[in-house]
Amino acid sequence: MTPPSPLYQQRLIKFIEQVTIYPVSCEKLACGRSDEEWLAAVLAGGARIVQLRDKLSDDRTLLAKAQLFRRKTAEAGALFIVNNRLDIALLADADGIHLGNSDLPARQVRNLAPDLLIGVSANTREQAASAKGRGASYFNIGPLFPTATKSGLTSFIGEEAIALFSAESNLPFTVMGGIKLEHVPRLTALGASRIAVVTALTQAENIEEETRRWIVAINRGKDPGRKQK
Amino acid sequence: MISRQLKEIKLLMEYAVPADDRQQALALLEEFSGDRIALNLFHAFYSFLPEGLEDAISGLQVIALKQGIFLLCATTGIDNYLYAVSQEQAEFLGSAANGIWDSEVLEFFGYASREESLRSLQDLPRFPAYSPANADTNLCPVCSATNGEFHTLGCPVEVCPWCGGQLTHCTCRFTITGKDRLTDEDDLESFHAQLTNKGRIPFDAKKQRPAYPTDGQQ
Repeated sequence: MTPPSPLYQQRLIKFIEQVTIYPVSCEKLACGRSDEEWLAAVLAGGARIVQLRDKLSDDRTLLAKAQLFRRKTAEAGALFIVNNRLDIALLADADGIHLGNSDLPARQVRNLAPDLLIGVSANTREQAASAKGRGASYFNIGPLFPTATKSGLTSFIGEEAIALFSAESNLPFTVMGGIKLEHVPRLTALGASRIAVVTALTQAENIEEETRRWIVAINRGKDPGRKQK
Repeated sequence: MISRQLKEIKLLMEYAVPADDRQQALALLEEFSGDRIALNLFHAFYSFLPEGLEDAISGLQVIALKQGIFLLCATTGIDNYLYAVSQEQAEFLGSAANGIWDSEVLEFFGYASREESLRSLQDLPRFPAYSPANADTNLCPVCSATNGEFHTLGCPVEVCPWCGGQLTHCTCRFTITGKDRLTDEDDLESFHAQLTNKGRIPFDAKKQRPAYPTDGQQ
């Protein structure tokens, strides 16, 4: 097995040491704001990672957007992850790719892209347990909470999944799904220090301020004795 | 085509829908299995999942319908999402709770502003449940134009105002434009202008109901 490259190690260390809030884009859920505006705001708010998730743009538009994300995240010293599209991630020189359960298999992506961080979704303990063997760099646990709905559909895995899933692997992990700012102290107490969000930030009135609030809350939860600046 | 789309949606649902919700979600899909409007929406939703999380559609409501384009609300486990849907495609518009942001969409469906769309969407239960468009005899079975509306240009049900035949099959478009073929947007726009000047024949739910010929016996 080839040892990880210095570039990969650098990216992984940054992920482990710096990531708290993990903003994921969704332009259509951003109250009329563009992905570019959202990106500027989350970076100004202090995000150390962003994920571009856009399944609606055509390939050329998506690549141009990814290249813009790359430039802006590089300027801010933040990691840049592309959702699902390995081709776009490689062409835009992203730091990583996030793969859902119906996306390309992580193992094969790892062979093609040894330097990329690879995130995978874990909706079950088995998926968390197999993440490392499949070549993933981190896994995402979710959805943790039910969200406000009248549909009668209530599937969620619950916060107890944090301990259960993370015990299955020594990879770093993120949590996601129905998480609100008031959940943060409880989640950090349970060991979750990286929280992925979509609408919590895309629909915030002031995205920059809201990003800052989440980072403060997560850092406070990780280290309750720490004084916030 | 419909069966292929249905198969694709079912495959997407294997990954997109939480196991506990799968039976209910598949039952709803089955209800609309012959309806292209609903299938376009299902396909758009299950291949995108707005929040990037497992989710399932549990109901569809009609917010508006104009010239064959439905403004539909899909209720899911996470939120109520708006889609503009035609027989060709479905476009995701965002969360119903945020109203409509796209100015073209607002104008098309007759909302003066996003605030007006928000007010209208506040009371979602008042909107009727969506039923398959292809079973609604007041809609054109191909382009979903309502009675009295113009068809989508290219709809095979549209009657030619020059010869009274089927506009997509008669040769009037070549005679009128003086071209052997209509190959690009400019050709179509030019033909559309001439057609409008002549006076398009709108959809008539009673007279324009394509069916297989019978021997006169019911």
